[in-house]
Formats: sequence, C-alpha cells, structure tokens
Amino acid sequence: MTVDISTIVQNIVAGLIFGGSYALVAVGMSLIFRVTGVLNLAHGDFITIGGIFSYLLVVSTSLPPLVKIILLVLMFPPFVAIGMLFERVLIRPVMKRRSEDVIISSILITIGFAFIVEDLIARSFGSFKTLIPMEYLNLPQLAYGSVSLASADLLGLGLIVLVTAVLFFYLRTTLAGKAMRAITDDREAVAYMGVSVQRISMLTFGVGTALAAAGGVVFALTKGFGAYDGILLTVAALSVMVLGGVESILGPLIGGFVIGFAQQITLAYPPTAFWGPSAPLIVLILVLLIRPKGITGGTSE
Amino acid sequence: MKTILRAGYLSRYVAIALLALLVIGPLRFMQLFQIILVYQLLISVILALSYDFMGGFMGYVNLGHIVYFGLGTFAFGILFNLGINTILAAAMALVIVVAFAAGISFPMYRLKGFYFAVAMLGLVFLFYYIMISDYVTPWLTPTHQLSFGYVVINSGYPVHESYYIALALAAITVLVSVRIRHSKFGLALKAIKENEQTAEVVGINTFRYKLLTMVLSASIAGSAGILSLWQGNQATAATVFSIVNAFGPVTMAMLGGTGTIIGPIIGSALFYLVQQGVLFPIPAGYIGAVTGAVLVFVGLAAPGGIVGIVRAGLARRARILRSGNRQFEYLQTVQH
Repeated sequence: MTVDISTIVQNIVAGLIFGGSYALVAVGMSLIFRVTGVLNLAHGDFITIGGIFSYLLVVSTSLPPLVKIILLVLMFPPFVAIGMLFERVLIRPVMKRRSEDVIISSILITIGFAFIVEDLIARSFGSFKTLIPMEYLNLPQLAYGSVSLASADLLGLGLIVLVTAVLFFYLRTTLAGKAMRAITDDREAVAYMGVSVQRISMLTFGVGTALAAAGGVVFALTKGFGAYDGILLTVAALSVMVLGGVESILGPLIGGFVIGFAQQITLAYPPTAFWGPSAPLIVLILVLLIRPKGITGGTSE
Repeated sequence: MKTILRAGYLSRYVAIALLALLVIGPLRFMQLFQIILVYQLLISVILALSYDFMGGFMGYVNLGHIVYFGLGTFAFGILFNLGINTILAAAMALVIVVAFAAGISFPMYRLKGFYFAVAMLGLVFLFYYIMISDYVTPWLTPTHQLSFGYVVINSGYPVHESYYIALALAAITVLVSVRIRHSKFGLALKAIKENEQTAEVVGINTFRYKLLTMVLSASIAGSAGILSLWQGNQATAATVFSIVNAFGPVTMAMLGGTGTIIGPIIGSALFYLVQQGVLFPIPAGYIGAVTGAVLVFVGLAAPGGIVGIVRAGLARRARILRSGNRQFEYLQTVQH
C-alpha cells in the first residue's frame, strides 16, 4: 500500500464527504425524532430519492452545465414539501394514539413505505449503484502538484458546508427554527406560547427530509447510491445518533464525522475493506458497550 | 394439561381437532407438496409466536428476531459439515444461539423503543456481512469451496420427520405462550410493557426478565432455523439475513394481533397465503412492496391486528345492545 500524499488527501476528502453526508442525514433524522417523537425508518430512502432526482436532473435534461450545478444546489428545498406531505398523510394519523402504539405503528408505516419505495425504484431504475457521470457537468479533474482530486467531490463537500450553514442560520434566526429548538426543550411550554406544535412538527419533517435529500445529492455526485441502500443508511444514521448523542444538533454532526471517517479508514485499508459498509453497525455495538449515552449525551429513548 | 383447560371449551375442542388433523394428515391424505406447505406455515407460526414474546408480551419490538433463526441455520450447517453427529450439532448450534442472545442483551438493552428496534435490525445487516465474509464461507459447504453465503448440507431431505418436529415445536411454542400469559412471569412482562420505570420501582428485576425473554424467544427461533436447514439442506445469507424477511415475523404478529396467542397464528396463516400469491398474484420482484403495503395498512388501520378488529366489533355490538336497553328504559320512565 503506497502512502503518498495523493492517497492521503483523497482519503481525507472521502472521509469528509462520508462524514458530512452522514452528519447531514443524521441531523435531519434526529431533528425529526426530537421534535415529533417519531423515528422515520424511511429516512434513508429519501436519500435515495434525492439521489435519483439529481441524477435525472443532470442526465436527462439538456441545460447548460452551470445551470445544472446551480439547480443541484437548489434541488433539495422542494423536498421540504415532500417531507411535509409524508408527515400529513402517514404520520399524523398515528400521533393521536397511545405512546407504545405510536412507536410500533410508525415503525410499521415508515418501514412499509421504505419497502415499497425501494422495490419501485429497483424496478424502474435497476438495483445497482449509480453515480452521476462527470461529463454531464463538465467538471474538470483538479490537480495540485502530485495530488489529484475529482471536482465532483469538492462540489459535494461544498454542498455539505452550504447546507449545514443554511440549517444553522435557519434554526438560529427564523421563528420556525427557534420553535423547533424550543420544542425539543419543552413541548408544552411551546404550546402555551401559542405556537402550533402540529404545524411545526409537519415543517420539521419537511426540513429533516430535505436534509436527507441533500445527502442524497452528495452521494449522487460522489459515492453513488443504490435502490436498496435506504434501510442500511437509516441504520447508519441511527448509529450516528447513538454515537453522537441527541441532546443537541452538534451531537449527530460530530457522530457523523466520526463514523464517516471510521468507514473510510476501514474501506481504504485492504484487509478490512470488506467490512466497510458494516462499520457503522460495529461502531454502534461498541458505543453501546462502552458509552451508551454517546459523545454529547442525551437519552437513547 | 391445565393450561389447555383454561382456554375454554370451544377453543379446546377446535385446537384438538386441528392438531389431530395435522398429525394424521401426512400419513393419510396429504401429498408431498402439501406437507411441505404446511411445514413452512408451521415455521412461520413458530417465528411469529416467538417474536411476540418480545414484541407483544414485553413491548420490545425486536426487529432482529430473524438473526436467531439464521444463526441457528448457519451454526448447524457449519457443525454438520464438520462431520459432527446431527443431534449433537443441533444441540451445539442451539447453545450458540442462546449464548449469542444472552450476550447481545447486555449492550442492546441499554436502548429502548425505536432505538432498540433499529439497532436489532442492524444486527441483520451485520450477520449478512459476517456470513458472506471470507472467514465463514469456506466452512459452509461439505467440500469447503467458496460459496458466497450459501450453506449446504446433505441430510437426505427428511420431509416427514421435519414436518412432525415442526408440528411439535409449534405446539410447544403455543403451550409456552399460554403458560407465560397466565403466570407471574407474564405479569412481570406486562408490567414492563406498561411502564418499565414503574416496574423497576415496584421491585421487578426488569433486566432479568428482559434477558430471559430474549433467550426464550431466541432459542425457539434458533431451533426453527436448525430444523429449517436440516429439512431443506440449503440456505443463503441473502434470504435468511434479509431485511424484508426480517420483517416477516413482525408483520405476521401485528397483522393477526400482537400480544395475543391466536393473533400471530392467524397473521402467519394470512400473510403466508399472501406471500405465496395464493390470495392474489404478485408480480416477480415486488415481494418487498407487497410486504410494505401490508405493513402500512396494519400500521395505519389496524395496529391491533385482526384480533383487535374482531374485539372492537364485538365491543361495539355490546355497547349498542346495552345503550339500546337504556334508551328503552328512559322512554318508559318518560311515558309515566
């Protein structure tokens, strides 16, 4: 195994991309969970759907490459509407039930949705991993000295940074964002303040789903996505949540990068490369054995 | 025998009649394919019932239940191919499953609710990777060739014997269910399901019960897995450790009615018919989508399953009848 600068840099970039994507997706899932109390097992499949939309956008339309890139960046906000619709139709009806019933009902509904989506995608597009080919976007291969990078990777990284920044801005400054943070603190108090918890919950589902879709766009640009990856990604996001802790937004963010790098290191080192995709699970079990509260704490209930 | 007596006269006779039919069937009037059909149905029932110990009685949704089935299958296959005597291999495989179930309880029970469910689901993925890895693959076949997750043994396809063993195992599982239901053990599980913190406060050693239930559930599922390989002679990691199949036991239990004994049985029968395309044809490759549709339906409309629907219907009738009487009385009083 040659240990030259180029390999190291590429691995670092790949780790950042994995980590950033996992972080985004996990932040989305934990936001939904902390605001609505529901774990969306179809979350990972929205990643795949986001990937498909971006793939179709790039490959099937004949717009100039720059426009495509801009559209890719702007692509995920419509997913807010999709997420809100999902909540309205599938989640809202079960929220009125007793708490044990909510858990099992939402598990059934979201996983059922995931199965249906995965099969439909596989039948329509095939079940193998796809990636947006570079030519469609006219992206050059970058080189700096002996280090070469795919600019699609940099674009993906840029998207991650952009989305994270927008998210922080949204949660800090907008009324809805503040309401979301407040609900995770004290649900009743927010209701007393005159905020419709139901509407905010619906909006949160939208935001969380959009984050997942953003992750999907990044995957489409860099690592590829497959029809049946959804549930595995959901499990990985859960590992991130357990590792990072859910007390704050920072938790899943940190957890995402830790697991992303862990996965990249596992993949890059040939003897362990086979275990790459299962790295999040192994980390999960280790975390549970050593420090179940996670890095930033917060109950895993 | 006492537990059967509790079930009420009609259900007792129906159960005995059904059992008699299933016992005599293969000897008299059942053809080979029918025997295999019923056998597979029995395996489904066993898996659904054993899952419900955790999911229905105790309230812990164990989405990784199928891991115990698969581990039993693969452990038995490896041991059998090493030349170990069948019964000894089966016993050893069962011990492995039980040991794993006990061991995994320690980290996993630190989670609850959603987290527990998804983490256990993750085990299915993990085992898939383990079983197709280079460490395990050479041991899966008698000729030690690489098989990418296929485990193969040669036991001669014992259809009749495995049918009766499955029947016995199913009967045992039902009896165990009934016993648990009407015992102190079952009461403790119910308390844990209702409110685990309160149960702890009241003095129930929740971890002990959680551990025992996991082991019990796992041992039955593991036995089914061992039996399954012995009967079918082959299994693949792709089917046994697949996410869609992992939801089989849960779907069946929920469809029929979780937390009951007859529920998982009805649910298994119904779901099995749907899966085999008996009720309506399923285009190839859509098994997952159909399972998903059933899951969504059960989750949205019928979290109590068929049993829940029947109970609700009966309760409604009782209420209507009762209120009808009261209205009648009211009218009579007013007339005076």
